[in-house]
Amino acid sequence: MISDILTVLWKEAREYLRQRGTVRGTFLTLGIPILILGIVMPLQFGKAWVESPVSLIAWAWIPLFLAINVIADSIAGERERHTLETLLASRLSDTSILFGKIFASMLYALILTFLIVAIGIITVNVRFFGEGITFVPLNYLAIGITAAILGTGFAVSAGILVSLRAATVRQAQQTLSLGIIIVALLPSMLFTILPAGMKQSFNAWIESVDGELAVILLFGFFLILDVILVLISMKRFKREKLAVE
Amino acid sequence: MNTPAVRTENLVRDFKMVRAVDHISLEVPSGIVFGFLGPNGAGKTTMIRLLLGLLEPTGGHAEVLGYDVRSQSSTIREKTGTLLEHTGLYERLSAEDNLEFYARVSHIPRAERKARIQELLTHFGLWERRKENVGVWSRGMKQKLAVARTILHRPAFIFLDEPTAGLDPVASAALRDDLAKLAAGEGITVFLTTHNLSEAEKLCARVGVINRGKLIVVGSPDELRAKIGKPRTEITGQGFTSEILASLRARPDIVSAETENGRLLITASENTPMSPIVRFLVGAGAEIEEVQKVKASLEEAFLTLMEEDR
Repeated sequence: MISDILTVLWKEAREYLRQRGTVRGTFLTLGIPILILGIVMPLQFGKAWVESPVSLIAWAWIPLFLAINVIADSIAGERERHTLETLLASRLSDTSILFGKIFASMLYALILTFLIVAIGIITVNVRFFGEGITFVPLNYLAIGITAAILGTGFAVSAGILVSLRAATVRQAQQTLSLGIIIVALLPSMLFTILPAGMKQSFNAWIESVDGELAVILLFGFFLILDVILVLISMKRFKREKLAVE
Repeated sequence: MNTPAVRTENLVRDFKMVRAVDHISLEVPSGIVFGFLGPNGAGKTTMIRLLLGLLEPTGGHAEVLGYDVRSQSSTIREKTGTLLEHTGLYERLSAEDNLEFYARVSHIPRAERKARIQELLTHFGLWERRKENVGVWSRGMKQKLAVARTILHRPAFIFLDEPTAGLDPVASAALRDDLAKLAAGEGITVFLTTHNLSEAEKLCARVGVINRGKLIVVGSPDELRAKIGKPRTEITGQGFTSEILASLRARPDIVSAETENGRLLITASENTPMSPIVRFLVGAGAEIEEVQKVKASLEEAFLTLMEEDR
């Protein structure tokens, strides 16, 4: 099983590297987010890009957008390009194929995110050279890494479910991007329409909450959500269903 | 006794209101090329999907290489190779990577993998272009690569769904030759679906004809021609007037008589001697240059079957 998962992961990685036709083309495309998030924004925000807890939110969002694009291509694209049925006709189990795709998408998004973060840290240190080393506080780093992993898991498993229903890669990517934007903007939009009294009560409640406990609860919630979504994906990703579709 | 490569008993598959495979009982012996013929939507691809365990039968029983399609489908997929309607190639990857992936899928040992990939790419004349992305290749080259992938792990049995569809006549003939050599050389049982009846005639030791989900007939192409297609005589010459044609059609031993491009085409009942007919034609004033008995083609037999099943 593990060697089969690794085989699918190997294939997916080769495909990601050639998603723009050539490995060079792919690296040039990937250079854009690296340039913006790894160099331009750290230069603009300065040390806050590394030290502020707000930057953790940005870091948690980067892998989500990267993951939804590759998982949509991996699932809906495989069907659109007529390669899925041949893959299903091979000896690989449904679970090996699914987990190979899940791990490949997660690794792609996380490796690229950590690369962007590392380049950002280097950029800030080069910019403020001679002012001592600027690094992410370790507790923020731990929170950032956990948030990135759980967030990517959520994006990938939700991406599978959407991609299995989408007719094309483009449709899957659009639906997922829209979904993530709604999830991101909805809480702040709801907050703005609250009456002033309720806003005050909400702020007071937030200030009274134990931050550490809140983070643990939030991560627990996302962990359970990820597991549930993966289990649903396993139920949906079955040869019989895919062949009929 | 050899286990048949395929054995089905009253195999049924329904899709909502449509019965795609209707009580098919079939036995395909090992080591032959078996042609599964039928018009579009006849149920050929559904049959392959059922035999591969990609679809669950609604009823009946099926075995491939002695393995049950319901409970042992993963073993069937492990021991067979498949080329479906689409090549299933990863067009962003090179030919070498496509084969490398499926070699890994089949757990071919690393040491053997490279040699096998080189052997197949060389055999199909693709070795020099192994590093190119498959997406830029012609359809014929892709189809050859897909066949190479199908036999990469030396399966005992391969499914080929319309392997020459969309290829030009030269590429079709080349692929057909390759398939014939592979079937003979590697001793593989081939289950081939095709629309191309001359292809089936050249390649297949046995054929089955399916229409609207039902298996109409099974036999060797010769048996089918003899059973269904009626022998025809082509007479080249001049003076085949409408009176002569009318007289011929009136004879009880003549099924049909017509002219086509100056030739007289006669279909007679079985065992009808031609010499009295030739004598009659000469007596009626026709000038005869050549008389040729033509065996009915598999295509004619197929069309007759489709007509009868309508």
